[in-house]
Amino acid sequence: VGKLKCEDFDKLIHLYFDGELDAEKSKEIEEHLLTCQKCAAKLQELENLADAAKRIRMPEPSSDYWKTFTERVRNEIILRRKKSVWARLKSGWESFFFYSPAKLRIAAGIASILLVFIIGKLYWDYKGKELERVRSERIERTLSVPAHQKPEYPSPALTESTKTGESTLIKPKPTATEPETVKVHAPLESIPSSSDKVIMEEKSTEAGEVKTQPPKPSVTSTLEVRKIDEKMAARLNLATKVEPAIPQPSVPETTIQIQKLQSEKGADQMNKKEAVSSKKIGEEFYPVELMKFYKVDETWVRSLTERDTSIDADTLKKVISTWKEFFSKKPVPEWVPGGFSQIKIAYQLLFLKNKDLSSLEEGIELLNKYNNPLTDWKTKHELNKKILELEALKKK
Amino acid sequence: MEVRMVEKKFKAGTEEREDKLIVRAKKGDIYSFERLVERYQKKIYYLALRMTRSHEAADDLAQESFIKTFYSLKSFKEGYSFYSWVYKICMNLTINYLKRQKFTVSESQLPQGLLELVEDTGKADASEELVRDELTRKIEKEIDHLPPEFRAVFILKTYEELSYEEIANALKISKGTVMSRLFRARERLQKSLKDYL
Repeated sequence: VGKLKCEDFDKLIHLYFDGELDAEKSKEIEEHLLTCQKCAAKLQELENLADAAKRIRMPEPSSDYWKTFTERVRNEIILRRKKSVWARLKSGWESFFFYSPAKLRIAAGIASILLVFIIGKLYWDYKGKELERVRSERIERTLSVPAHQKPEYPSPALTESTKTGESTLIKPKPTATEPETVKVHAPLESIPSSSDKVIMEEKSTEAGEVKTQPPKPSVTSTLEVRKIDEKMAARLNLATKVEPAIPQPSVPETTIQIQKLQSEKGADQMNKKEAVSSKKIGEEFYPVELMKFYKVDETWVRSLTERDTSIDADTLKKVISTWKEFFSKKPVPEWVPGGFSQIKIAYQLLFLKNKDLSSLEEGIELLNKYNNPLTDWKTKHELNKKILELEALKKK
Repeated sequence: MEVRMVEKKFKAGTEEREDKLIVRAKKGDIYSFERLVERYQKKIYYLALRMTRSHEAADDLAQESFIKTFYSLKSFKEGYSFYSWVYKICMNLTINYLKRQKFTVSESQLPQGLLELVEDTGKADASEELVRDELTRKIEKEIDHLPPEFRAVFILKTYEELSYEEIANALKISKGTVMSRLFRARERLQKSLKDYL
């Protein structure tokens, strides 16, 4: 017996028989076979099996069969090629619905993804609306004022506007998150005392329902100008049902424009910047009147411009009395030049309304009274200009 | 000398022609493909017949193999054996067919079917061809009883004389699986034919 053992031969017999062994291994097998009759018999068995299998005769089809074979293959190829796109789509569509676990799994997967997407979208929309509603309610709650908390001095303009519609004041809650709020600090040298409180609040009336907010304790020595832009107004639901704050007999005011004020100079510049613009509604253009208010201490008072000729005398007198009361508490109120301007305009409008020179004289006298103790040259100069304007009007 | 040279040229020409036929068939030339079918139709038919033991099934499977080959020619890489490509397709179709049919040829059906087929061919000595020794009949029966996967490996090795590697490629299985299936198929046959071998 050679190097190879019979057990090893048993493992390699098929590989040897099938010619899958390398030359060296084959030689070892052959050497073993020469000496081992038992293993040689095993190999012979395999050979006999293969020979017997190869002896199985397969019947040969007729020669006609082979002649037609290629023809049939060709015809079938041509036939399948001629299948229209529609037929292929149809068969594909049909096979799609043919039961198949894999297809079912794919369909279930797609359906699940779609379902999750739809539910997610619905939830997202619902949550978004809910958040928006809560936010709107919170803002409205903050801004809305109960009936008993209406301003102490309701301006004549408001009284007037309530005749035609509802009109109240909007006082947005000053929060850090509201970009619409601009705080303008007055120069330190012009702040006489820490107890002085003036908040000038500008507001656009969107005709419609404008709500009043009870005045909040203002920040000491801070000139606070609040503005409300269209975005804010929309959020407060003020853009609808707009009624004119100041009745315009011929032209209905149904739109609002909010003026942005960022001036440190106060109400004078606010008035200068007051804009009359228009917004297209349907096919017509309507002029827009702005309505602004000052918050003087805890009192809301109408902000006047020289164009406010339609304002009634009571409102003008209320403006004058409010500012007079405010100045009476402050001997040198040079840090509120807007107040001087408001008094001047109020007297001027009063004169134009009543055609009574005494109004102008009273105004000139009052402004001169305020002018005398002023030390700030700039404020003094501005006030002098206003006095001269009134005198010029009186002469005219 | 002159005759040999002619033969060589002819052989080279044939090989080149097959390549050209494949290229043309790839472009959709069905008549070029027909020439290729003519060349291998018998081998493929007998391969299917050995597996299925049914002329009808072998006919269908052989035809389908060529049709599928035609439509899959785009992925056929030049330089490879066209016949290998076709028998690969044929064996896969056949195994699937047998699995689907749970094909098992009964002892009584087989000679009858074959007899009819042979009679159709009109051969006078058909009955003689059917006369086999006992071992051949027995082995025929035992091969038919092998599972399709085992039968495929055994047939490819015994009749097509393919290497393990080639069988593995044709059936898309590993070489180890080929060896395992082949050894087990032979063991089964040896066991059942112990008295005859």
